[in-house]
Amino acid sequence: MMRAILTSAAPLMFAALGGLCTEIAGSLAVFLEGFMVLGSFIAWVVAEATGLWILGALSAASFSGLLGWMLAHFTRRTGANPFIVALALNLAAAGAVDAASVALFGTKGVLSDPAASGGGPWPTIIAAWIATAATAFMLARTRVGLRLRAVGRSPEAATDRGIRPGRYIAGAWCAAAALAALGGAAITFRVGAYAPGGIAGRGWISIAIVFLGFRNAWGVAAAAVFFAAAESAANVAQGTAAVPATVLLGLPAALAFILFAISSALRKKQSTLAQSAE
Amino acid sequence: MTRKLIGGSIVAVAGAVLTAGCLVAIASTDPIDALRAFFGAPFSSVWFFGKTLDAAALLTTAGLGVAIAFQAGTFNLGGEGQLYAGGLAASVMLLGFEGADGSLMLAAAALTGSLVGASMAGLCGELKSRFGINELITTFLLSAAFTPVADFLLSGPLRDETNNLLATPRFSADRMIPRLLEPSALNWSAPLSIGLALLTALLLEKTATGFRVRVAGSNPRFSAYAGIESRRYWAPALAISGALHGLAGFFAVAGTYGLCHRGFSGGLGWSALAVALIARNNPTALIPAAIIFAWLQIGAEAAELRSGLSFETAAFAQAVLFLLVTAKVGLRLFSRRGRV
Repeated sequence: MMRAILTSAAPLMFAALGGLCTEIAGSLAVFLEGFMVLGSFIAWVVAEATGLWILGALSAASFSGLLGWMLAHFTRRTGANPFIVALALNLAAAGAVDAASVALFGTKGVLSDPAASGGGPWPTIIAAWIATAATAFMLARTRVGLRLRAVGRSPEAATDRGIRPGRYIAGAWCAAAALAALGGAAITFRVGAYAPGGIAGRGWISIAIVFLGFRNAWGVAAAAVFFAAAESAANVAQGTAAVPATVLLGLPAALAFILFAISSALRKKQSTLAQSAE
Repeated sequence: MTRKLIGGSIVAVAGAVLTAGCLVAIASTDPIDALRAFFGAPFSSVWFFGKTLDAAALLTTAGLGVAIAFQAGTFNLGGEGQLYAGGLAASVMLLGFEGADGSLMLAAAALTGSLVGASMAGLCGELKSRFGINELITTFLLSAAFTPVADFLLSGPLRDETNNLLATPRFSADRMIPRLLEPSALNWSAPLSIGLALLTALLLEKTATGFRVRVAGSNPRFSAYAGIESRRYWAPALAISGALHGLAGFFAVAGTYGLCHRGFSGGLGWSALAVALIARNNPTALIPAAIIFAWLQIGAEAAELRSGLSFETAAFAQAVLFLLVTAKVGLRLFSRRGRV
């Protein structure tokens, strides 16, 4: 039970940690969904070709990281709207993965291979918690983390202090893309297969989890576990109440909607209370 | 300023057409034939011509929804689900109340579809203005949560069991929007959508409320100095945005298809977003933008059919469009030293 919850929390942890990095740097990671899709596919292809799942994960992360970095530079240099650019990536990722699947394997369907099962659930779970610890340490204890926060608070003030915001934002996008790709890889490894549409909005849910975790790395990890637990509890409860399986597909998004709304409302209340106390 | 913006739109559309054209040419065995299908599709028959204009009507209506949300400074990413919900609700009306007058039921269905769309987006607008909850995320999540429910209804309770299609039964002939150009799908929703776009342009440009909405949306800080409270417009703008998406859903089921089938709204919401971006959220400019986009879409479809492509070129074209449409290309991309 616990293992199942931790396993389904791991992809969300990876992606949401990525979302946290860009959120701290002051931009919303709308592109998480696209990089998760890309990561889940690349991880499968490389793992299948080499027989090494770790290589699959690494290539998914590095390719996506590079792409995320390039995208950040493109956005900055052209002054394009980052949300729209992120949507472009989401669309392109879905299209490219479909096309590549047809070109390489002649099918748009599920691709499965035992080599892509990630050495059982534990490596993925452990890696997700290591990523949490590393992100928490990086954001709270290092100069890079501090500067990232400064850039997020006020790019102008950061510039005055001699920090170049563009570099830090590009770095955050790069990290977010790589982490989201690892999240996608974790989904592939969980079942040892790449399934089209298998990400099913988890990138968006991860954005909600960033806020659910109160913009803190350990909070994000806890929120992801809480979300996975709530999802599995709801699944069990619904299973007994004979709710059609198709409707259950909407459950994660519905749950994310409710939790996100509640947590945002609570934070707003807290900040108004703090303001009136002052 | 405006010229630069229009330039951006042209670059983006050209990039999208080029991408789709290249993909079609590379992936097919007979590139010339495929390209001819791609560019000439809308003029190959009355059926295709009407289909293109009808697709443009749907895109204009939904794109208007996107544009209004943008104008007031909000982001509606749940258009896809609002379209689906609106179309489904309208279908329920059109299938029920036997014996009632056809045109009366059409009006009732249009109203129901709009109301359903409006309540989905309006809820997110209320959450934003009351609690500061990010509408970009809530509109998307709400739409994603609803889609499987609609899928279920259309493959179960509302499904026409006598048919293999996952769809409702056909609406009776007097409960469909009258066609304009038989045998094509073009119907009265096309002139209606143009009217809506022009009316919106008038309201935004010529009325005091329209002016306040634009100021509030474009610069919240400045509008606060001018005594305009931006947050007042968020919920109404999103509700109208949702209503227009719901109406587009009604147009699709009652005008284009004559029934409601599973996943009919697939992609329409994102395409509407693309159209609104090309038009720079200008209601009048939506009309040509929608026609160009519909051409691109129908052309890609025709080329895929002709050359047996097994992937969607439209997705790539759309991605290129999104990538370029807000970029100020030529300003800094090609300058040697982009400031980073």
